[in-house]
Amino acid sequence: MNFSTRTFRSLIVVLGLAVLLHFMTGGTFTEARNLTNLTRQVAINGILAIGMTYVILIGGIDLSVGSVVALCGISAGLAQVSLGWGAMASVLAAVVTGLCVGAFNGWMITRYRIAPFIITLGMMVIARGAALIFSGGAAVAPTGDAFNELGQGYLAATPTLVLCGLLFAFLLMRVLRGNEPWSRRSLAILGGAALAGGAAHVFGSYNGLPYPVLLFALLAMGGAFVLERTRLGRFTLALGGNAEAAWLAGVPIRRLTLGIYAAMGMLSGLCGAILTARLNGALPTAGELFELDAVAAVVIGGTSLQGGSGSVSGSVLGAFLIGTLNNGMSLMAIPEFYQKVIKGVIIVLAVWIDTRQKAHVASPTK
Amino acid sequence: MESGPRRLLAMRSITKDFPGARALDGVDLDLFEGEVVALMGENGAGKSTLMKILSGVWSSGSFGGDVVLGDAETSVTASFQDTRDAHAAGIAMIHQELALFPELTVAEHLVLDRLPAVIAWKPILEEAQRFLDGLGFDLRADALVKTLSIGSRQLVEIARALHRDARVIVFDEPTSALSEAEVGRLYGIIRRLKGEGRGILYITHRMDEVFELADRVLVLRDGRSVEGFARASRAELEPRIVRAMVGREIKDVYPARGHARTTVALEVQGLSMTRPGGRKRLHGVSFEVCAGEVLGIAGLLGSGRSEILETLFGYFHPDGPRGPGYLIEGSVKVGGIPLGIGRPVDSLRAGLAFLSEDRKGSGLMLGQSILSNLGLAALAKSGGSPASLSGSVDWIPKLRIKCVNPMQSVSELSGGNQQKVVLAKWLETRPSVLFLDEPTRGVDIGAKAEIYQWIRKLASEGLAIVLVSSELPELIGLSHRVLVLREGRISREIKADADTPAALQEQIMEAASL
Ligand SMILES: Nc1ncnc2c1ncn2[C@@H]1O[C@H](COP(=O)(O)OP(=O)(O)OP(=O)(O)O)[C@@H](O)[C@H]1O
Ligand SMILES: [Mg+2]
Repeated sequence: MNFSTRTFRSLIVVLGLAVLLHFMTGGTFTEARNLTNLTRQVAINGILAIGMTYVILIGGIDLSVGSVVALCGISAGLAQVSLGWGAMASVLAAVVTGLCVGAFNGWMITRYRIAPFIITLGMMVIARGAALIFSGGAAVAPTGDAFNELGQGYLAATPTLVLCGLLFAFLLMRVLRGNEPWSRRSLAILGGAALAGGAAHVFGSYNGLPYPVLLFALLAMGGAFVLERTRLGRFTLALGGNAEAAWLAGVPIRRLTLGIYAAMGMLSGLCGAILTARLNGALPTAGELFELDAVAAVVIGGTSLQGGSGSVSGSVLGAFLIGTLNNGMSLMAIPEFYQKVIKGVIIVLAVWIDTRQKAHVASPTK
Repeated sequence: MESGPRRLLAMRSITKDFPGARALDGVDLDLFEGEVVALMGENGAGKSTLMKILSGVWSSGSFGGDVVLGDAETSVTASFQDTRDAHAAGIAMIHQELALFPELTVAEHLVLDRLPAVIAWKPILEEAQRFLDGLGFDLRADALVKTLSIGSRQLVEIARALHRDARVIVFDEPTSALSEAEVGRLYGIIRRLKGEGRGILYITHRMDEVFELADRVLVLRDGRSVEGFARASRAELEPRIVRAMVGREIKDVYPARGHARTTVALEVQGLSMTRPGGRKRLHGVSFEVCAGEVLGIAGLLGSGRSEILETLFGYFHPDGPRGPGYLIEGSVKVGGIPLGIGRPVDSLRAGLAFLSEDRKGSGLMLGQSILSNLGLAALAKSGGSPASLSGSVDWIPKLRIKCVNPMQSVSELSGGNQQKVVLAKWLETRPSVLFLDEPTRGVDIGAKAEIYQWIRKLASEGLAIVLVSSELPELIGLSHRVLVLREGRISREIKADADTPAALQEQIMEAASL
């Protein structure tokens, strides 16, 4: 359970792709600057994918994510531009807006039993409309420098190095305390060392760790921890596995569902703020199709769309796979139209390979 | 065999491996026209697996050995890729874990694989209704399956196989959810099928059924066919079958009752429940259970016996999967302390536990590990961390749950072992009042005796138990008192030591049906 084969496999795939791109782009891909940018691009989709993992684990879906990102971005933008709020308060404005929308989705689903697909589809349109209304259809800009740090700033090199070290120590501890065979453990340690070392090198030799990436990393660890090690996480899996059984076993299925959609909304809000900060202003048209990228990352990461089984680490890697593809193809100057086709094909392929492998494991050995 | 009945099929040295376990190891089986063969064996012996091979669930190539169709002259080796191939060859199986579509009507289930591109409902419904009436099944062709009780769903499965006009019909524990009356009707149907020259393979854990129906008995143990028995007197055969199954004798299936104490553990006053839409299912039910007492609840399917437990436990709370709209009245005290009927988690914390009858629908998270399933209710009750879950693995040896390891998915366990997982889940919450709804459904004789011992042991330690069961011998053998329910009302209370079991059974049947 700790360091599963699938996670490991996905990691190999992402790393393999990186090596491939290194050669295909003549080394540009693996430059510290590019990798820093890549992680920053991945961060938003990654954060959304963490929330979406929970939503999909309970057998739900949230299609409103992209629009909510835009709406919350506008919230933050208005707080900055029209109200002159501080950086923190503006971020909070975005997060609270997201929370309200998400809680509303959850409330409609649990109280009125509207299918998640339907209510979030409606919300997708509503939130987009609201974003256009509040912004008057134009960009809300410019946001202040302090606020923009959230999207553009860096954690300095030294603390970044310390963080990478801590991360590796944490991984080491978990692997050592696990009970996988030693061959697997040493591989995990080597991989972890390479990853932590790589991260230290990349972020240390460029500007440091971008704040969005820092947030992403913290949220990913938190999300994984909650799912694997807490009651809430086990309840989430139980609810997705069999709602009736979960209910009888004492799982508060209604509150849990509501909470998960509310959390998804908060994460969307945070991403709205980050995006706005990165662009120096909020666009009502931002975040288009973000929900689909998040769902793709989750599904590529091996979470079942029926709910009940999946992992946060898988989704994180899924987000990296998509981000790496996007980045690599841009570097190679593949025309955007073709990029879309290639990306779609690879998403379907990845999921197909994964389900085939799962079927293989489940089918008899004879 | 003499020149009489023709052989329908033969299975030769069937071997089947699963990751980490060999389920079948060189099993042979013959089936002749007009014959009922009972397959018996402990939980996990491989009965269902053998029949899944026969009916194409496991495709040819995924197992060793041959399935041969027809008699010695006409024999062809079958190579089924899926169940449709088996249907085409006239083999149908009624599965232990029902495989129905909740949103489709009964009629659709009958003709699903033959539905025309454009459907004219009326003739289909009429034809289906005639067919069901012909079988004597009390089912409406246009009813949605999700609205049916489990017992009725089982009838749908049976009707489905019969509608395909299969020559060989496999029944995998078909009566585990049927009422006495329905069981009687099923026997009638099986005898009729037999008379028409069909071959029946019948998996069961109940001796009564074996002696009622079977021409031959084949016993499997640990994936091997250990012994075949021809029809003989029950007194002579039963001990031999049991020994072949479990490798030892079983005496005292129902251990002696302990003394109930006088402290009232659960008191229910005037419990009523009305479904959304105004149908009243329970009418002022009152009873009490003392610590150390086993209170049985008898009644026909649909009499409301399960609903009493569901209502008390909080299944119908507006936050639950059924949503709001249930009207519940009455007062409940647990250990003297009033309990407002709330959510299941409130009931759990008050010391109740509830093993529900539908293992697949509301008992297990089938896709998840034994460990996750075992610990869930205790986790919800205690509010502790999942780390404390590891204690629950102790139940695996205690209840002798047959599995590869605790991380194995529950869906891979045999039916009886799944049932033990659900039981363990509730025992792990250390309740003071335990509701059991069909606790031994699909459990083998040896394990049944073990569960009975557990029930006794728990009762003697002061646990109050409310037991719902459609198996009257079980109900009478375990309970101190039996409440008979009819149409949501208690029609009679019977003391279990008042008369002989046979006489009590009569009285219960009478009070239940009237
Ligand atoms: N899909 C599967 N994957 C792995 N193991 C399996 C699978 N299906 C069955 N088994 C194993 O094969 C063995 C035989 O199972 P089977 O379901 O045939 O038992 P059974 O005789 O029908 O028992 P019961 O009376 O409890 O229904 C069991 O040990 C079970 O765990
Ligand atoms: Mg079975």
